[in-house]
Amino acid sequence: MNTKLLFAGSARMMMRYKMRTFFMAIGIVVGVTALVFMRAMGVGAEQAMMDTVNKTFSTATINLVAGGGHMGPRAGGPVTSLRVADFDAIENQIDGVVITGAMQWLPSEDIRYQGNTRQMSIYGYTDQTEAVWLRGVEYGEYFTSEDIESASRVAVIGQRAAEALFGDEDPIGKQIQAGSVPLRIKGVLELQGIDTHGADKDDEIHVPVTTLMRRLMNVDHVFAGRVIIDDPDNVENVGEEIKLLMRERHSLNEGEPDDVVVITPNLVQDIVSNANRVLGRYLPAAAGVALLVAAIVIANIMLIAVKERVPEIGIRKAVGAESGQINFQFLTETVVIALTSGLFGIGIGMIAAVAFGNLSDVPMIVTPGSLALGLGAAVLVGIFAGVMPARQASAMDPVNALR
Amino acid sequence: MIQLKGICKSYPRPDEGPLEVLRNIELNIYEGDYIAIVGPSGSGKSTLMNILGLLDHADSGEYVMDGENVAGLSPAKLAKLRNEKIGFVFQQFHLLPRTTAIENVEIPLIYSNADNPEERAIEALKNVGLEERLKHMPEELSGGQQQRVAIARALVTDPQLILADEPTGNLDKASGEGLMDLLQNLNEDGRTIVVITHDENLAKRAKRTVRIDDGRLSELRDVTPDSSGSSGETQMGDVA
Repeated sequence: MNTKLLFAGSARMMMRYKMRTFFMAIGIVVGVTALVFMRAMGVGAEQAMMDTVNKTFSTATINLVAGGGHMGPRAGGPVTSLRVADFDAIENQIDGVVITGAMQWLPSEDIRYQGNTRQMSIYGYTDQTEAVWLRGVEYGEYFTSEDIESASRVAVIGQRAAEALFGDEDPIGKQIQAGSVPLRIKGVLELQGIDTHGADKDDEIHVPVTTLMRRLMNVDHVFAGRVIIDDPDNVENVGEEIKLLMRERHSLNEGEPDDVVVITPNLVQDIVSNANRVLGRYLPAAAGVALLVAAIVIANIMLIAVKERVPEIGIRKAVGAESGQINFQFLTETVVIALTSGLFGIGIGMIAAVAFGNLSDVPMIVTPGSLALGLGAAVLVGIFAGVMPARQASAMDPVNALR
Repeated sequence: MIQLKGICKSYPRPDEGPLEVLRNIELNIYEGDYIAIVGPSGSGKSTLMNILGLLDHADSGEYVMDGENVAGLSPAKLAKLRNEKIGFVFQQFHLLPRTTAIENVEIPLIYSNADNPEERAIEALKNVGLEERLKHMPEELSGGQQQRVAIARALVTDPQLILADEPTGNLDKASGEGLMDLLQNLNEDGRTIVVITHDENLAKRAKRTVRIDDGRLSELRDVTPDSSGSSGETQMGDVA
């Protein structure tokens, strides 16, 4: 069979029956455009979230949270076994650990300055916070090791919190009241914005972790902490060693669950990318519905076309076409239309995605994979829609077709 | 080139017995023959044509083409024989609409593996006198011209046998005469022609005329291919 001639014929049919081609094409063009556009949105969102995660959890970082297997409160009250000394032990006993920082958290406390009262979260950090949590002061100064040792009554404050309490006044050196404890402001924190949990990191105050434990909360355990290691590739191994060390120090027997959750960046990335699958995969699946409708429309138009072209099928069979070749021809015509529509669709989708990305804050990323997905979907629609009409055409009896 | 022996064909009918369309047809078609098949409507002419054209199967009997019994051949092999050995011409022309003369004539070449299909299509159109109409659509051609395109399409694979079913049926007198001249020229060039017709003028030009009546075939005149010169003399309808 001379396939070149056959393809040329299919292309001609497309051009000469413009209305028919248009109605067959429009569904695929819209569907594929939507697919490419939504996929660009999904990939963009995934990338943006990954960037945030990587900023928050550097790849050489391991986070520890008190609690067994899950975060947050649990039955039987808070886990009280995680201590500042545990972090000193990790720093001293495990190879590859550069620095550690324990952290305690008082979710809400009344902070007063003269007539103003404001409820805020109070975080207890060590003097290593700048190195461990990558956040320092905008001006003034952070805690010193003496502040930690002596549980000094000092604090540094977020910028929004400072504005709320002090207005235009310079907060440095001012005395505030946290519950019944007086604290002197040493510095103002760098801006950080909203974190991944939705908390405003500029509306909080930091105090030495020892001050928070002893003077404000009257506990001797911490809530969480962070370990920085020297080699990101080693993060899983060090994570395991920390788990073992924690079990040993907390005298857990075999079979008892961990009382500290060790969160490695890999774990976080897994969780986040799972969440993103919804954006990256299920959203484009909505475009699939449009394509399914397109397939049904195309199949219908082709079935009508086959009826119109009965004499053509008869004559082709009379001059030597086998049934399989008729089948191939009609399938080819549908697929050629679908493929061409798909090319238009990925073109329009790509332009729309880039334009939308430039005109708005929504991150849009068009990948070659998304384009291939769009084109592949178009071809699949063509095959799906073309099979039945093609089979009907090929089964036609030439004697009846030519009557 | 073709021998039909005892060909029978019938179609089932819902309430009566089967309709016998062809009964025990015996016919030899020689190379270079020019046969007209005549007979009233419903006499079985078209069925015989479809069987001759390998578009339909006989219920019984033998069809031998170039020494080969076609009964056992696969659909693919039959399609190949139609492509290579038979050219069809129909009363309704059956040209593809919105498709140029060249493209219409190229169609049989899609299913053979001929080189230079376009050149061959142009050549075939020149042979039927349409070199001025190569890129015209059927809608832009007269009936006679459309039938010439159809003949070019039948000729493009250079088949030995041309089967024409009422080729002048949709043509005015002048175009019909032109078409008859064309068929006669083809026959004089050595092509075998079988034509179904109601048109006495066309039947007269054939070397042999066979009549089908109620499924039975009878030869009205029999002129052997090598004595074609005297073919026009015998009268039609003188055989009871």
